Amino acid sequence: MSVSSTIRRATILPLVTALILLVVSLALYLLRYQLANNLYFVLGYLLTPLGITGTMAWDLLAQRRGQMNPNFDVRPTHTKVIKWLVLCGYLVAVLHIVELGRILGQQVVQSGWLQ
Amino acid sequence: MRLSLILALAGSILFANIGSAIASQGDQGANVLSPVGQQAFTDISTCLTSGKSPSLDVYYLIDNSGSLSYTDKGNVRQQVIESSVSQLKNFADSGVKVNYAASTFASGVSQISSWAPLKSPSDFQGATSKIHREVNNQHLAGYTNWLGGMQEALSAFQTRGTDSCKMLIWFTDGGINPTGNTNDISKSLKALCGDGIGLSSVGEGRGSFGLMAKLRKQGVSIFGVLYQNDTSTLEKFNSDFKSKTSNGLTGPKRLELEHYLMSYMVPLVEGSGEIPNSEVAASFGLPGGGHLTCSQVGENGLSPAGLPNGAFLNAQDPVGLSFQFLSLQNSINGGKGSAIVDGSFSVPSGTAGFAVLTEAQNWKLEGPSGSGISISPASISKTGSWTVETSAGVTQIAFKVEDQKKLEGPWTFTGGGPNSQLFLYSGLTINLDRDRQSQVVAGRSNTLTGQIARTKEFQNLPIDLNRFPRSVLSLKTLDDQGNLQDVSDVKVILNPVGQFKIENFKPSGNQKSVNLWLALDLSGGFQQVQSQFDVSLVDAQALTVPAADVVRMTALNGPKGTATGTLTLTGPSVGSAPSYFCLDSAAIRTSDVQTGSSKTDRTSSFKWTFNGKSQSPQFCIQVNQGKTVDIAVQARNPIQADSNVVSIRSFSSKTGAAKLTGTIQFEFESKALVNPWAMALSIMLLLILGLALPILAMYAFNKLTTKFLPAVGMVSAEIPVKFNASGPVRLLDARPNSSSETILVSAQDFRPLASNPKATKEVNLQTAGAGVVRVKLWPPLSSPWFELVSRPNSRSISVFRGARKNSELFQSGKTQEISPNLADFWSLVIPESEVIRVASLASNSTAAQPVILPLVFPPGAPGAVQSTVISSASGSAASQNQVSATLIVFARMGQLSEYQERLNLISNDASLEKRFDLIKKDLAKPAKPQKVKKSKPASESKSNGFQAEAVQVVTPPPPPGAAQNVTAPMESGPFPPPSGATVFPAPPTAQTGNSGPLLPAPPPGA
Repeated sequence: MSVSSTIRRATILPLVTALILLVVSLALYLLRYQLANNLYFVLGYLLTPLGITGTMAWDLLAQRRGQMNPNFDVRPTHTKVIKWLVLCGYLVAVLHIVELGRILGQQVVQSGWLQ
Repeated sequence: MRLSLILALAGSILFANIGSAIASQGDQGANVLSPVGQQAFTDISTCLTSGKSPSLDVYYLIDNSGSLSYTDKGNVRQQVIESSVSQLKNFADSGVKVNYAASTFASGVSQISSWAPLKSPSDFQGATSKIHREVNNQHLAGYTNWLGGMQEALSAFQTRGTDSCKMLIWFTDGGINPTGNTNDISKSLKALCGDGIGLSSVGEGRGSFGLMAKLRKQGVSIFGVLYQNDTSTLEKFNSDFKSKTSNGLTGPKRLELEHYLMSYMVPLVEGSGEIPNSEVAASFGLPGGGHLTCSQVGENGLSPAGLPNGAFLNAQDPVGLSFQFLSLQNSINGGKGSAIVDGSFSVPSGTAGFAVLTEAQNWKLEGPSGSGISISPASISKTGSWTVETSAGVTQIAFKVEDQKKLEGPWTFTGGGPNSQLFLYSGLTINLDRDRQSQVVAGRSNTLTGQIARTKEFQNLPIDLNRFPRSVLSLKTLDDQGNLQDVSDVKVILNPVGQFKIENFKPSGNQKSVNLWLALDLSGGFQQVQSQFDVSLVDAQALTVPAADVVRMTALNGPKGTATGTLTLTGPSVGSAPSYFCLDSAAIRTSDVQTGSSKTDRTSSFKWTFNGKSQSPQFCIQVNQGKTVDIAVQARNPIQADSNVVSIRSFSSKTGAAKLTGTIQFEFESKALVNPWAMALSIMLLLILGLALPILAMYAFNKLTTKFLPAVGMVSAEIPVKFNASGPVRLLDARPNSSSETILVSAQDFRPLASNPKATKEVNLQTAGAGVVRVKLWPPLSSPWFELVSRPNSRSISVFRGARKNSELFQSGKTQEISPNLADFWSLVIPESEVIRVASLASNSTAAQPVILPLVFPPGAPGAVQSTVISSASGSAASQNQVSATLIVFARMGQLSEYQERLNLISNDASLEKRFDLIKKDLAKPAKPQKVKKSKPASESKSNGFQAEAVQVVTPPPPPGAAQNVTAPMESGPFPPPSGATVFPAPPTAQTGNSGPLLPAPPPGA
């Protein structure tokens, strides 16, 4: 394995992506009356926490592969921040989940199931 | 050109209200509208906002006198009036019923068209063709007979109904002069204005008003456009004087007389005005100057509320006129004007759009920071939310904001110069549920309902009144002096989506009708939205009337629920004729304002019943005198939603000849039911999935991707060592045949790690006798890490510089965090018996008697003892104080010197002493019985709560002499190799030292 002497930094892209996903998911919830479409709750649910967890996997993989290079600059802080974002994302996901649960509960009544 | 602009201005009048925009345009010289003129546009705008089916009657009265041959040589008025008629299409498109009529006047009057509807494109084409045919310089002849023209217009308007909005557009280029005889001028003025015109002064006479006042009483808004082309007029007059056809009047004197005669147009159009003194006029026996009133006006010059005002427009400067023309258009469309000061202006929240007018050529319009809006003449061709039009030197930039937050805030308009104007649009109008003429019941509270709606241009923009700086709806009526005053004691309810309800409107019983105005004040630079309507009071004694105009019903719950309410009818109290009460089949308006995040259009699926019967085609009931009848009202909807439902229905009540029509508002709350079990189950499943999916995904991901780094080309060594249990720890060579205590590396010490290279790529690697190394994947959301688990009854010391875990977790030496790169791995394996032994020696040195170490192992655990009896020290203190251990070192294949250097670093690692002390302390701790677990072989490491991949390997036998002084049955000595584990060969018994061509000699003194 050839090893470059140049210091290679861990990418910040997973962290940025996680942050964007969190903000988008939160915005989808806050703008639910303007968007006026229940599918946005599903999208929000997919973005958080599933999407953010994906960014964590991305970050772990990138950093682990990077360590094969002795000159790789590991950034455990990135991973730590993404973990917190995953946690925040789960809280945001709860908002979407409650809305989805309410919608599904209404659909059950509307369709006449369980009656 | 001037004429075209004047006529274009006149055409713009057709589009309604000017508001205050023109007032701020005071620097435009002669093109300034008076406050009365501004009010005239407000009046026509209010009229067009009033009533459920507004209609507009427009009459064109066009000068066709001979003077136009020199004031309008280019016959421009023809084109502009045609354009004016064409622009009426905007009203027709907005649902206004438009009719027009037109006449020309000179000495007499010639009709161009009687009243004709303008609906289809062919209607407009026909109208403009007639204008084109009749309005031209080929038919010019005669004097300027204002009276004749006005009489014709009055006759025409008298044939129209009272419900329509009426506009008279009166164009002339000269003063009143019906026959050329001054007596006829005075007669005409008296007929037009009234007896206020005396012989010597306009203010002398007292009496009734004339024809112009009658036009106002007909509800006609008069817009008089005077084209005062002094240049061409003076040129003509001078020419006439030279040719001696001017009765001896010089050009300037004749022009003075013309100005005097023109001046009567202001009081005739606006109701009052100043007439100048003119010696020339006096010499012809015409009255002197003064204030002339031709219609009923207040102290401020405005007509009493309910009578339309007029606007006088005088055009002299082409650019200024063009500016006004565009200002008028913007005001008509609901824009409110304000000057742009210092090249900046603010767009408040709620703005539907704005327009900027400027005379400048090189301007630049920029939106708030972050909006990315930058428009200049060079970017006109670009598409966007804006349109740019230029007319006679004036540019209009119209921008659709559509209440976008990013477009709110400060805008800059650079290069616009001092004469730049901003028009803000709210895009709102008022829709009443009752017509312009309707009835209310006298002597009881009435409720007036309606809705704030979008204008056609912004019809797709939702209404949210909270977005405006303020939104106050008020009901006004006339006081005794004819001024508008707020109606007292009414309760105005206006919700953010624009629905309003005015409760407790109770007109006094002695009134027969009430004129009412509804005004929506938005503040923040927006024009007030106003609507006018009249209500006539009906005595309820002879009629069946509802007890209230609003019926509040119970909530509509779910798709199978029913909203119920009661409509109480009170029968007539007088008379014996049968009384009938009927509700119309269709609702005037059903509003279903849903509050949920997702909206469903279900207005058409509401089912209503009255007394259990379907309403169609009409629900009627007879109510006898003195009786009270309750009608059960029910509403259903198979589609459930969270909303507030309002349904307005017309009713009519008839008793003999007496009749009452009105509206009843039914309102109820609609609630969408939720199945709690389904909701709870859904939430639970989604929560579990939300947790489980990431965890499973991460676990799978970690399992697939987490591996030790490739171990190809790696070697390992296993060296028996010893070290002093007290003081600084330095590892010494404990091999029997070692020549020195210093660990000297030979070529045979480091051997290839694995015979099978494939094994080095797997997750697990054999680590000789160190124990088990494994990947820790749990919890999955935490980063996986690599762990060494010491063999049973032994402890390990390993140092990983890149460790992430808390070092306190590894103080016992039972586990260690290690590097994923095995080339960095080393471990000092110390049998527990050795630690216990040296610990007992230390105790004996302080008390030279046998001691019992408080070592308590879990019952039944391998090597567990209840107590350990330590004999007195034997042998030399130095040798007994030494701890036997095994050093296992991994390294990349390299030179012998590199191995030696690595061993030297490990042997002298400063942390060894502290780590060994921590292990001693850990072993000295008494075990907690309640937490005792049955000890299991390391091969069953998963029982530790880890889900890990592990391989157990066997440590080599400890060096001879280890644990010699332990008399208790402690487990020590060689560890039996578990089945299936890979056993590394024992270290060589003798060092050759010089074998291995790759390895250089150990460094001197190593």
